[in-house]
Amino acid sequence: MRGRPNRTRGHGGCVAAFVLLGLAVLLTIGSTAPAAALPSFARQTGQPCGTCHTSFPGLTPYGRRFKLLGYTTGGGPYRTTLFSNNAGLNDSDAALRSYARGIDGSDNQAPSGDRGWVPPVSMMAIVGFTHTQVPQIAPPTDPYNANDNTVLSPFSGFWGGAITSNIGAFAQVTYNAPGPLSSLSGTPADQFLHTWTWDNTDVRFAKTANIAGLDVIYGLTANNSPTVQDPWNTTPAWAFPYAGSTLAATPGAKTMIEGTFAAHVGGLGAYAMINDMLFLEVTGYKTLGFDQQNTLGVDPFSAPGLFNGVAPYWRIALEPHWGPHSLMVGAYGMVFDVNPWIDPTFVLGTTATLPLADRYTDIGLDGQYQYQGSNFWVTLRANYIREFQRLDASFATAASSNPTNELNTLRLTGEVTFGSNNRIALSGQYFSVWGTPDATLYAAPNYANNSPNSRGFIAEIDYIPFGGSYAPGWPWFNAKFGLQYTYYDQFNGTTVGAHDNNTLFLHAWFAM
Amino acid sequence: MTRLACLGAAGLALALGGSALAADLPLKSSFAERFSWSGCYLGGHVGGAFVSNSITDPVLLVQNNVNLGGPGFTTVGPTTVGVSQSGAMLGGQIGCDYQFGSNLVLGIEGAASGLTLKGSKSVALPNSPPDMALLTVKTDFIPTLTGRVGFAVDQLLLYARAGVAWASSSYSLTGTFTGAGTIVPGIPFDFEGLSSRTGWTAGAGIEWAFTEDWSARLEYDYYDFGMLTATMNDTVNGSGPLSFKTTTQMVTLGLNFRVRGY
Repeated sequence: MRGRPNRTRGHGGCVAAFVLLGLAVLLTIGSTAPAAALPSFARQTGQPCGTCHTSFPGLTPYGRRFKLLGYTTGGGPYRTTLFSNNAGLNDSDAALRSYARGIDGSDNQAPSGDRGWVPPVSMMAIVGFTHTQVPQIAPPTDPYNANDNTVLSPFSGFWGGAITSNIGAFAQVTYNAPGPLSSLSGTPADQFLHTWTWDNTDVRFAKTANIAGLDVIYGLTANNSPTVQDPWNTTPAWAFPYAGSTLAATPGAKTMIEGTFAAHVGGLGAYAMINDMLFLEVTGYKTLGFDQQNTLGVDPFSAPGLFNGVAPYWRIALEPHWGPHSLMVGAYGMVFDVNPWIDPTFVLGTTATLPLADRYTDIGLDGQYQYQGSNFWVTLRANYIREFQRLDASFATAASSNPTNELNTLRLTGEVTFGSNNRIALSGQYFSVWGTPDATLYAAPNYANNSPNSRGFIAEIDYIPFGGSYAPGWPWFNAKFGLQYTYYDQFNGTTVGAHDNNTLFLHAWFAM
Repeated sequence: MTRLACLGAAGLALALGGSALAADLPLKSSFAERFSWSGCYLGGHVGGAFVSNSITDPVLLVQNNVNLGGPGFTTVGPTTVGVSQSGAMLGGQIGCDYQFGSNLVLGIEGAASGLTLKGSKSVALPNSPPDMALLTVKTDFIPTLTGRVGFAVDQLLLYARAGVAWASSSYSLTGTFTGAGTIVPGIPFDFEGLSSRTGWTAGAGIEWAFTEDWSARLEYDYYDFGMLTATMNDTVNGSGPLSFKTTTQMVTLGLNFRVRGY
C-alpha cells in the first residue's frame, strides 16, 4: 500500500491528477454517507474512515482490532461473505461497534448485510509530483525529466475483507512504473526487473475465546513481509511516511527487517491478544525460490540472497488503554541467515547462492501513545532497530571489509489529526540511520567516508476531503491530498551536499 | 350453437379484455420503475489488445554507433520496421453517468489496465551480414480518462467514448556486431529504452444492466500514441535515438457494480 521511496525502481506514467479529482467531484453528487479508507473494508464494516484510521493507513485502536480479528468484522450494508454474514453480533464485534459509536458519535448503521454481497475488491492510485533541491536523475533520464516529475505510481488492486466468518485477507497487487533509464545496470540481471508485482499480503484466521477468565483473540497469519501483519504503525511495513516519492534518492542503508525481504518471503505465524492488552506473535519465514519470486513479479536479486532455513520473527507488545488514552510499549525481532547470491549480475547465468551465510540479528524496540480527543487524535510513535551483522559469507568473498557490523535506525514520529473524523493530518518525523563504517559495503560513489549514516526530518500535511462521517462517496471512494517535505542533514555518510536530496512531494492518493 | 357461439364470443371478449388489461399493468409498472443509468460505478475488465509499431531506424542505431560500425558505416537509407504486439489485459474502472430525461446518457470514466503486450522482430544489419538485431517492444500499463455519450434503451446502453490515454512501454535492441565477420569475437550490444506516452483514444460499446446493481459491457477501443523518439541506451556502447509510431486496438469485456447510495 505504501508508495515506497526507491531510486532504482522509480515509477513513470504521468497522469493528470485533476482528472481523478474530477471523478471525485462527480462522486459527491447525490450521496451522503461516511467515508472510509480501503473502501471494501468500509462496505464490510459500515464504519467511517476515522473509525479505523487517523491518517490512513495509520490505525486507531478499532483499526488494530479489526486487523487482529482477521479483517472479518461485518456490520456494514453489504453481506460479509457470499455464503454467510458476520453481522457483528458476537462479543468482540459488539465491543468494537460500541467503540466505533464512541468515535463516530452516532448510531449510523445501515441494516447489516441487506444489500447483498459485493466482492471486497478495491483499487488505489497515487499521483505524485516530485521536486528535489538539485536534479537527481542522471542521464539518460527517459522517461522522466531530470527533476520536477509528475508520475502515477503505484497503482494497486486489493482483496480487502472477509473470505469466511473467520478468515479474511488483505492482498495487494501493484504496478510500479520502471525507474529512469540510467538506473538499469546493463547486466543480464535487468531482465528480472518487473513492473507488476504481488505486494503486501496478509491472510488471517482469527477467533475469540475466554480462557481462565481472560478474553483472547487468537489467530494465524500467512503473509509475505515481516511486520506487514503488525497492528501498530511503529514497525517498518506500515510506518510513516505512508507515501513517498518514487524518484527521489533515499538513504541507501537499512536494516533487513525494514522491507529488505518484503515480497521475497512467505511466512506462517500464530498470534494472540490477551485481555485486550498483551499481544504475542511468533512467525517463521522462508524465502521463495528464485523462479517463484520472478513469477510473482519480484526481482530476486533486489534482496541479498536466500534464507538458510527458516527465519524466526517474534513480537511482544503491551497496550494498556484507559479512557481516551492508548499506550503501547513493545519489542520485536528477527534473525536472518542469508546465503548471498553468487552472481547478482547474472553474467554467469547462475541463480545459485554461496554455501556460507551472513547472519543478521534485528531487535526492535517501539512505543506508541494515542489520545482520542473530542474531534481529534494525537499519536506519538517511536521505533528503534539495532541490527547485528555477522558477515561470514560477505567477508570471505570480500563483499564486506569487516567480519561484523552494526546498523541502527531510529524514527520518532508525531501526528495530529483533526476535524470531521480526521480531515486534516499534520505529521512530523525525525529519522536517523547510523552504523559501523565499512569500506566495501559503503563505498564511493554511493556513500562517503565509508559510512551508512543518514539523518533528517520529514514534515507532512494531509487533507482528507472525504474523511467526514457523512462525506460523499462512502463506501466506494476515498482520497488524501498530501504535501510532504524531506530534509536531510546527513545523507549516505556525509553532510556535504546532503541538502541536495531534500525533496518536496505533492501527492494525491485515491482509493476506490 | 347460437348460445355456444355467444358464450364463446363473450369468453373471447373477456379473454381479450383481460389480456388488454394485463398488458396495461406491466406497461405502467415498467414506466414507473424505468431503469436509470444515473449514478457511479466501479468495475473490472478483461480483454485482448493488438499494437502496431512503426519503428525508425534500428539499423542506423547499431551500424552508426561509434563502438560498432561507426558514423558513415551505414550506406543504406532509413529503415523503418513494423513490430506488432499482442497480449491480454486485466484492469479496473471507476466512473459516473448521468441520464437526462430523454435517452441521452453522459459520463466520465477513469480506467487502468495491466497488459502483457509483447512483440519482437529480427532486423538484418545490411552492412554487416549475417548479423541480426532483435527488436523487442513491451507495454504493461495503460491508464485512460474518457468521456462517454450513450443512448439508453431501458437497461441497454449503446455508447461511444473518447479521451486521453497514457502508455508505459519498454524497448530493447540486442544482438552481436561482427562488422561483416571482421570483428572476432563480435561486439554484443543491448540498447534499452523506456517511454511514458500520452495519446488519444476513441471507442464504442454496448452495456447491459442485468440487475439493478450490476451491468456487463462489451467494448472496442482505438488508441493513437503518435510518434515518440526514445533514447536507446547501451551501458557499454552508448546511446542513440529510435522513433516509434504506435497505434493500439483493444476489445474488452467488463463488469460494473453500480452504486446506488447508502
